[in-house]
Amino acid sequence: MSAERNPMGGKAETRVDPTPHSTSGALGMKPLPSVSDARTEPSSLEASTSSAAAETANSEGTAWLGTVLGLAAWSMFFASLAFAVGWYRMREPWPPLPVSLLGLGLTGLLLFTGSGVLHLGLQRRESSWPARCALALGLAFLALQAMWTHQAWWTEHVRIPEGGVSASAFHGLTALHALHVLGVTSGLFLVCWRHARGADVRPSLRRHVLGWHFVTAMWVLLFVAVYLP
Amino acid sequence: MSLLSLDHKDVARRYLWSGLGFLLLGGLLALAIRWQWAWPGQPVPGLAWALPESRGALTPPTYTAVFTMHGLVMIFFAVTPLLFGALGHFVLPLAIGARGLAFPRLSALGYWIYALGGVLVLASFAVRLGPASAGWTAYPPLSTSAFTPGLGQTLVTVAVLCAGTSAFTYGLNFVVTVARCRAPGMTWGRLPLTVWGLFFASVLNVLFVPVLAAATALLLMDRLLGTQFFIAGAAAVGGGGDPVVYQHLFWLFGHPEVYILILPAWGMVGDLVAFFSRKPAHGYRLTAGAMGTVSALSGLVYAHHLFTSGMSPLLGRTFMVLTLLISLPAEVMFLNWLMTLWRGSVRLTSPMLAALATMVVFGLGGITGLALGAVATDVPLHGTLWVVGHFHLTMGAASFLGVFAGLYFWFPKMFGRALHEGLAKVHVLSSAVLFLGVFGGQLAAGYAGQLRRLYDPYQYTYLKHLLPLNQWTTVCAFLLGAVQVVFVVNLVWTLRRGRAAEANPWQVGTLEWTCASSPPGEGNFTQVPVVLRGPHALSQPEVLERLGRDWIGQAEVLPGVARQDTTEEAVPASEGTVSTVRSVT
Repeated sequence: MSAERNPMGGKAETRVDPTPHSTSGALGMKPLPSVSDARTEPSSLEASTSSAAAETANSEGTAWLGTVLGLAAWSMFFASLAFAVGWYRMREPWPPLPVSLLGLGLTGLLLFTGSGVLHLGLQRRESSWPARCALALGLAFLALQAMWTHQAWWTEHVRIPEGGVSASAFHGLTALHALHVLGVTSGLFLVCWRHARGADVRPSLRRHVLGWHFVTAMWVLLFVAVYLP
Repeated sequence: MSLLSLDHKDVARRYLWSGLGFLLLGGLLALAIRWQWAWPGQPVPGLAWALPESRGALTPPTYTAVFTMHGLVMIFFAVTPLLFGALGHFVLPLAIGARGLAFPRLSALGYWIYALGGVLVLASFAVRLGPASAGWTAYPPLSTSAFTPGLGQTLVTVAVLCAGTSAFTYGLNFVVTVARCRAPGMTWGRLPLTVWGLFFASVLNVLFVPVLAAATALLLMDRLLGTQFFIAGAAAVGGGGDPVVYQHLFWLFGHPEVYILILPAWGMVGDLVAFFSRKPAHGYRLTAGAMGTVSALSGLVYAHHLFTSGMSPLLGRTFMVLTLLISLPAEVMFLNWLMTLWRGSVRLTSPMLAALATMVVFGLGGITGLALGAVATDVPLHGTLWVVGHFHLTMGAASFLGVFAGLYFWFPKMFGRALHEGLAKVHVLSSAVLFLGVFGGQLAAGYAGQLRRLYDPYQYTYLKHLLPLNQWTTVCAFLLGAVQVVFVVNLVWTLRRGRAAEANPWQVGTLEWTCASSPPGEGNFTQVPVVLRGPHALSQPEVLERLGRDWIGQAEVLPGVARQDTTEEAVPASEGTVSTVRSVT
């Protein structure tokens, strides 16, 4: 058992990491008494409180594992996109983008900043500002990416289909990544909204932070595969 | 059954009815293809209402649409949903002693995404220029808007994306459920082989469905936004892309998909062979390990589908060796099944017959696949019906019979009613024999050189003599379709007037049969069982001696045996069995 601090101002809870064998972890499943529970023979109220906490913690652990595995598996989506671009790069020289690489890189830095802020935010318990800050960073990232693609299209004439496969990769993969960022940002918005209504959103935030780290890592893949000359 | 229920059993039933519906649609499309190969250009009986201009005859564009939709519907909307959506959703939580899936809402959402895909597939038949017609693989540039401009191709591509998303959700759900939600005492070594098969196939699902999603997303962008990822040649603008990239991505998903379709069936065969030989599964760990090895290798062999697309000879040799290697664990597993049967008290029930038939057709499919794994023999055979016969034996017949093995076995648990055993046996046996007739005929025609996608093969002089063979094959196919009526009659009759199922009609010890009612209520178990042994504790001398029967439940306490740290409190669960809850002294 380990004490968890609440980054969103909710009541701190006790976290239990039961093994798969010791409990039945599906949502809504009836928890089984552990050996230690039975030996101490707590009163029925204490026992029900303890088992409810264990059930909640177990559900959170299951959801967390599902998020980790789901995101790890979904990285195959971006790996496949990178494979495709790598194929085209091996086939012929990859034209340099007529958009500022520094600008694109600094835009990605917003995601890294968001990752750091959220990571720190998970250590804090009394405020929701890290989530709100990350939300703003996510929106800024999307706006800047939209600006770069707009500039590439209208100013630099990097267009589809005239620009061939490199223009397709720039616009197409940037859009696919942006959709993922939009999904994570929308999730963070919901977390902030629920927190504003008084809900305990700590477990949910912990999973959304994983999503944010995921889109940050995938942006690195996008930068290396598509943006670099 | 509420359409909004999150219970895994309700979701399973939704998948079952939808999957059977699409199986019917895919089967009818298959019969139309077979008709064309037997009587080219002749009106298909009963199709005049759909094709009034040709009075029911398949025109070349209709023919390409029909064989495209047959493959897509069968793989993405019939067999996979039946294996995972219906049987997987129903059995997996029960078999591991869980009260439900780890993510019930994700499970229900996955079904509705699949249903949306199904609606798009059906809608595609009604749009101008018809449904998809670029083959089930949707190879570009044929599948791009330059060559298949109709809305139908786009709708079906989105439908495949929906089916993939659904597969990803239940794959993830199954993996997490097995990892986190097993009952106390249900160690990895005590999992039924069915669960192992579903688990490994789910791992493949979550790993490789995203690859299909990437390929499909790029293809959709090519079709809708004008990107140039897969467009080459005269249709390309600004240099264009490369259609071979799609082939790599597609088969990086597509070959594991073969194992996604067969691994659950392998697991079921492993369990059923043990159950109905009344023996523990021979080499349980080896069988589970072999399934794991096949899963691990499945992503490393995909490029044997591209031997004729052009690749470095070194790569060709590498993929050839890996492809041939993957047959070794499959052989280990097959030998374990045979050893389980050896000197067993074999009971030829309908699930057992279906399992044995699965072994036979899968064995034949595997052997005929060796010729396609080696470069030298694949090159002449690749474009022929040999390939069609091979993969229909492995992915079609074996998976189909696996589905019915599972359905006949778990039907009493799903609906609380017992199917008519005689009709079930007739259905299984006749289906198996006719499958061999249909796909054996295709193998023979392919070996004789019949190319696999020809509208009218007999335009070629060297194929004219194959007409009688194709006609006999078509007769087998129509008979195969006809015997499915036996199943439908059995199903409808049983659901309306079938007798109530016994608590444990197959006399096996797995949790779903010994600790849950038929059909199981909400939460599956009155008490979460504490598992004491593996799934195949059959014909154990001490059990025979103390209980007077040849099976014992996975959570059943053998009288006179007490654990040191616990006492076992017996709780009646179902007739003839007990489950246990643990109270510590």
